[in-house]
Amino acid sequence: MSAGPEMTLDKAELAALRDSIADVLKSECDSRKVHVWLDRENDLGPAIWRQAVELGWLGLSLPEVDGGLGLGARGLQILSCELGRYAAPGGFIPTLCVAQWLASVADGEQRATLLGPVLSGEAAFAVPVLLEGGGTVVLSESGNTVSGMIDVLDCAAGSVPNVYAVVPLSGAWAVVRVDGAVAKAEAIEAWDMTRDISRLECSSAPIIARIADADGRAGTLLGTYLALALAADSVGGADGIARKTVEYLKERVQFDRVVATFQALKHRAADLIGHITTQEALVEQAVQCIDNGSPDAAMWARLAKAGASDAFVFVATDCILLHGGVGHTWEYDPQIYIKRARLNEGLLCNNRALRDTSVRLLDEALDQGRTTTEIDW
Amino acid sequence: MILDLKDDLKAFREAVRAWVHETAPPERAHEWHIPKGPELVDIQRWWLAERHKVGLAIPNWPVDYGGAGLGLEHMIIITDEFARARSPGNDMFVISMNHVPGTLIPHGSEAQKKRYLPGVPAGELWCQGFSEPGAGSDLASLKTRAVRDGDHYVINGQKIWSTNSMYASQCLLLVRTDPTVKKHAGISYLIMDMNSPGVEVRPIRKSNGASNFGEIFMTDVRIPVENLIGAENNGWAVSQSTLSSERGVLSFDGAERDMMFLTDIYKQARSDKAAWLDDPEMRREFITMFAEMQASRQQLRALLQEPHDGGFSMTPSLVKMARTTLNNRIGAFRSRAEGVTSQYHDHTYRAPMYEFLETFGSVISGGSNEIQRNLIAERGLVMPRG
Repeated sequence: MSAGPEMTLDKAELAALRDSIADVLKSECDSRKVHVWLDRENDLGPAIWRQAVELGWLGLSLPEVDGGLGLGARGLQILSCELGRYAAPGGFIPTLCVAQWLASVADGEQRATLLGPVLSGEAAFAVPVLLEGGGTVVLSESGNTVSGMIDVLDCAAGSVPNVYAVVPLSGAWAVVRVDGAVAKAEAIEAWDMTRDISRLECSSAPIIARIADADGRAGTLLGTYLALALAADSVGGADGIARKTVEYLKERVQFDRVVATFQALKHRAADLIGHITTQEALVEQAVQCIDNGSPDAAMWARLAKAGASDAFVFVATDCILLHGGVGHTWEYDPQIYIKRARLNEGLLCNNRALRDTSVRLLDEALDQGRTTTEIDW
Repeated sequence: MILDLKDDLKAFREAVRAWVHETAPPERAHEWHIPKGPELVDIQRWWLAERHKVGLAIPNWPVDYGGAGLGLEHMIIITDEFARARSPGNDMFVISMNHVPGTLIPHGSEAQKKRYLPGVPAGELWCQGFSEPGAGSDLASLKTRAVRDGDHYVINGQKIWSTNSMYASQCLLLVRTDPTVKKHAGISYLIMDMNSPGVEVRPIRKSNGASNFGEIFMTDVRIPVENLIGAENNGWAVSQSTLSSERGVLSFDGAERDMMFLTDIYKQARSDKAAWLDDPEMRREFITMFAEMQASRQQLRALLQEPHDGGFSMTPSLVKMARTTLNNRIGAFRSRAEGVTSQYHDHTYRAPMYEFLETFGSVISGGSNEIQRNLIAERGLVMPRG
């Protein structure tokens, strides 16, 4: 279903792209600004979104025909990783993933209606917080409308005028416009204040686009993109807080020495990097599979999400502890990351069920004579 | 000739695949998977000779020293295809194939290169005499003494954890030539003929009963001065080349084979309808390790692509820690998955309990994981020394 990226950049070009994103976030989305945003005393959320629109980040991955740069899963990975590293607020993951998904599954007219406005900053997407496993709900379809209630991420998306939510129907997916009337989003107060969760209530909300999905493959693809973006965000977030924590250990003095000199803490820091780099390599596996159109992409992306979000929780937890008492205060950074980590852990599907799905997909691959482990070179 | 196809990677891969299937058919894998000790040395020596006939014994060595000068992409193809075919391994000759050229090519004299390098593809088995009972992680504190006596050094001391030393005919040996200076400054690097008078090797019996390394006792062993590699007292610098030849490719072969093996275990469990497949927690644990194994293959590929520019990289340490602890977990998982019968003595290939016990060695060897953590923290993360 996924045709692979139209554009591939070499290692140096990818590094330059990553640096250019990181440079913007480093100055525009530093720790202080994020803390102030938590109290909604600055406009960081809308400001970052505007920057992203102006710099073309929302189109990095989209096919050229839809006005994008054609970088595919690679673009999604790099952007999500850096946004995660700086705990950037906003609904980037749902918007980027739904856009990428529509580019594969929607018809030309639907794409023209929905993707252009995303690139120009006039539209954003929301997705259900749960897409797979237990606890998912299906909305009812009647005529050309849907009704029902579902929790979605992220309806606020900066100050974007039009938010469209993707909601599951029986054997299909519907895109509805969150208009505040027939599709009404009520904010849910959640621990992670860098992203927004709402309860969406549809009462005969008109279907803007309908994606038929009798065999479930479209839904699987949406899940694959979400899994990859959540995994990359988790790796970036884990690396971000781990590096900040190491710098803190180099400043904090006890017993007349910086605590970073203690071997017990050095070994813990090294283990954090070990957890992160293993998951980074697993995300790489998922990116390659998606971009190569591998039939095993669905499995590897889900394994990456399960592994990376578990690792993010582990790393963020240990970073609280490594900070000592200040680690669990509002003022320091670990609290931001542990909340993002816990949300990532739960989004899309719980990690146990993702692993169950992955075992099933491995079994299917083996039945079809594939090992799922082939790497191109 | 397979090597003639080297400019067409796809054709090259197919030729390697065809050759390995013909020369070491997977149906005969039990012939090289079951034997241990001297019998395995013979099998691997046969396999080395077969590869040498078609230029696949030392294809990555420079042309000047009998290789084909092939680069990374070819080595990866060869390693990958050998692993996929469950071909005989190479572990008995691991020092010969990697550490010997890694040391002699940059630091050896022309005479040493001429004398020793051709022996490697011909099946000469080397060992490494580095660690000592009192010099493990702190290798530079080694005490084996070499005293100059005319045109010889006279060696007295003891080495330990020397892989395959009981089968080796040559040894890469670190000795102390000057005990009066700082520990790193008084070390020299010698080639020792293992058949010299005064050399005695005792195998070390590991917790799983196997012996793949030994202790080397040296009593008044005479080594010609011409066997010195590099300058006297410059052995520490030379030894760093030896150790860096462990980087990447060595581990790559292991990782490819481990992934095949893990896949085989799972296929076998499916065909046996193993009881653990009905346990969701066990299935999740398995698929998590399966994912991490694939991740370590990706990490190794990234490592092999890193430039060798002399700068410090955390990647070798991270890969080493990830792979060795994962293999230990897999060993533990397999013992639990099989249940009590895993505790009955089982002589099949890589039986669970045998393998579980086996994996502890790699956590320590090649720089213990604690040393790797120090490297990551102090050199990678620049956390200051105490």
